[in-house]
Amino acid sequence: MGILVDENTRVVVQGITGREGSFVTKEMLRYGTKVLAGVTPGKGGEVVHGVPVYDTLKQALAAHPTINASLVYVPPLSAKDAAIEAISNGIRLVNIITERVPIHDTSDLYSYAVSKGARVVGPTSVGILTPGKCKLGPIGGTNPDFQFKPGRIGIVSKSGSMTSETAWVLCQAGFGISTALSVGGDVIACSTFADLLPLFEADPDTDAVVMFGEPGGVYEEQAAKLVKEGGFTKPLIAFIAGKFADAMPSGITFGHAGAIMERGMGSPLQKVEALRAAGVRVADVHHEITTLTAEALAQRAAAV
Amino acid sequence: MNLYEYEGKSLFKKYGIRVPEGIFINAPQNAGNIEAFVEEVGEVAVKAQVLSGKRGKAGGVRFCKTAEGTELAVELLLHATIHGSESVGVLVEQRLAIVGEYYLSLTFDGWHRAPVAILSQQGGMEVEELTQRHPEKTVIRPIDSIFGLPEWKAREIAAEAGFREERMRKMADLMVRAYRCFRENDIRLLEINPVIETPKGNFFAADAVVILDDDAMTRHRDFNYPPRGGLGRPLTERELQAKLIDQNDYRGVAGKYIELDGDIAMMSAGGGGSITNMDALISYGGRPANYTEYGGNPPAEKVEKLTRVVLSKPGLTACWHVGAVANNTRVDITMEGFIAGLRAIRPPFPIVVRRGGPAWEEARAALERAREELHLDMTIFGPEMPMTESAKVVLQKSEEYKNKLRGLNC
Repeated sequence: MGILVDENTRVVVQGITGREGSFVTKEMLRYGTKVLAGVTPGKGGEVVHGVPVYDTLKQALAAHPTINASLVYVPPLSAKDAAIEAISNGIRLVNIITERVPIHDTSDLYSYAVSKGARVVGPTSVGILTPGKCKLGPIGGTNPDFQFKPGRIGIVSKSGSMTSETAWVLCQAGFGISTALSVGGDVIACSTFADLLPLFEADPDTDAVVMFGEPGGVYEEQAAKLVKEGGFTKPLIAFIAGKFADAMPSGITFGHAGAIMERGMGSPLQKVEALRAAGVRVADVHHEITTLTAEALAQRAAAV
Repeated sequence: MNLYEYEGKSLFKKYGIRVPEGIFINAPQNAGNIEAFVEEVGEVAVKAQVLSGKRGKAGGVRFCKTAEGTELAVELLLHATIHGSESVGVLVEQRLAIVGEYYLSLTFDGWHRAPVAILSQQGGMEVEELTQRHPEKTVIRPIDSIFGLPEWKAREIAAEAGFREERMRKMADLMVRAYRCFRENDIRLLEINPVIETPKGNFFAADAVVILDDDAMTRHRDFNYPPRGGLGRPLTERELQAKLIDQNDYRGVAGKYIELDGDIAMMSAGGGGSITNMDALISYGGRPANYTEYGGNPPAEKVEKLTRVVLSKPGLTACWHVGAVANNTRVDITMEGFIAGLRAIRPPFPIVVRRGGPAWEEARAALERAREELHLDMTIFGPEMPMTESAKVVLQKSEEYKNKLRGLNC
């Protein structure tokens, strides 16, 4: 099982002819992901690693009606248009890898996605991976099996590189991954921790979730609230990066765009406090997540 | 990018938002028309142009009634240092009579994941204080991103904040104009604090805080704002150099560089990894010389430029090149850029690398060759070493290097 992507995921890559888009397509195909089509306006008729390219998403869907997910890999100022094109054409899962999307654009496309009931992950996502079944996006790079062994721990992270590092540390400790994804570190994340934790809650193949948070915004606080209100009952283990930034002048962005601390909000220490108050295990140093995960699972097993 | 008050106000004027009449002076030789201005408008406010808040309390604003007094205040504030940041000039403005002071801002909010309008009849205080002390007098309302802020919605918000009759209508009009400005200029935060009401019932923006979205700059080629730090201080030479790295080149990101006080040069990859490693270094007692992050598979030349910037800071005792097991950043290519930078700088201090990801083994071999060729004290770790644990190695190496330097001085 896992969440969002599995063996039934059929992918179109928007921006497939770009340097990154084409490279990632090759990697996804090698992993066994079913990439049926690509879209690059003006390059219809080309073929990228055996995948046919269309000018419009509508044409791609007409030729490949089973497509059910889009990977958006277009330049920043085109990301909104591409995502809305996908949603307008009825695609229910859109994963935006593009970084540096203007916030007004993200806000527009999020509003549109909500109105159409589509799930958008990103922008600035590194992708979604369900080990052995589907790799959507650059997550795991050329050799995902190295960091992402199949198993029963979910990972949701604001940071792309830390999604893999977290998986690596967990797998080194003998755990495996059900689904790992990064939601991006922008001020507006189209999917947040609190949006995705209920999916992991409902997934019979996930026993616990490890979450990687960062300074800024309220998404970690929302996750704490969800746990407190009983919306997520499986063990949740968190690490919040950027505690050093508390000592820095407010208004500077360290890390991702959303990591800006403005108006006294978004402090990592406050996030840690909120999560701990909700009963979430929070690691002080990143590699401690493994010990906390083991503890949480042992405690749960003893309780059953 | 944060705009100075005078820049923000000139943007406001284009949208028909009233601002007090004023002149911006950035050098003494440009101050010639003060006398005529004071004669024309009467009492004036002389305001230092700095990006830090709480300027008034720090003596950055003076009120004057005469031309002589104004000239003195201009001289005093022209290059004043307010909260550690040097003023880029002064704004001399007409001082208006005030019958009301209000608060208005437009920004984005993570709870709504949409633009929000924040409006209150209690103007003049900081928004944190406002929302804590007068939550009942402050309304925060989301705005439909696609639909925008129509007049009826603005009237609703103004009415909810307690504005009545003509005041309600005028505040709604101001909000509609401010929202258009916010939207059309890709603004992340637009704050008018206070909005002042004059005895004639007109609303003016007495201050202007505007933060533009750096990610949208390429669709505003008409913007002509000189580079600035947003750090409460001017950019250093190296910070300016770093800013140029990503200009007009979207292949990856390598231009984020903030100079700090410490002695350990940070070459860090990934936004999340970079802050995790800053935490680790500091928690083990180290002092970073800078913050940086590169990622998104940048080409070698970008990483080379960043390396040169990072390693050129005086007083370094070690360099920590650290990143998580990369997903898609070609580690051999980024390390090629790093090695080119090492070749140019030839650092005498120790270097510790911890990395992994696509083509890591090739990268490791290239680093080993460079170590030999350039006679570097470089320790190289792959994924076998936990990322945050390599911080301890850097600190140990830095200590050794400092001891060596002390020995040489004796």
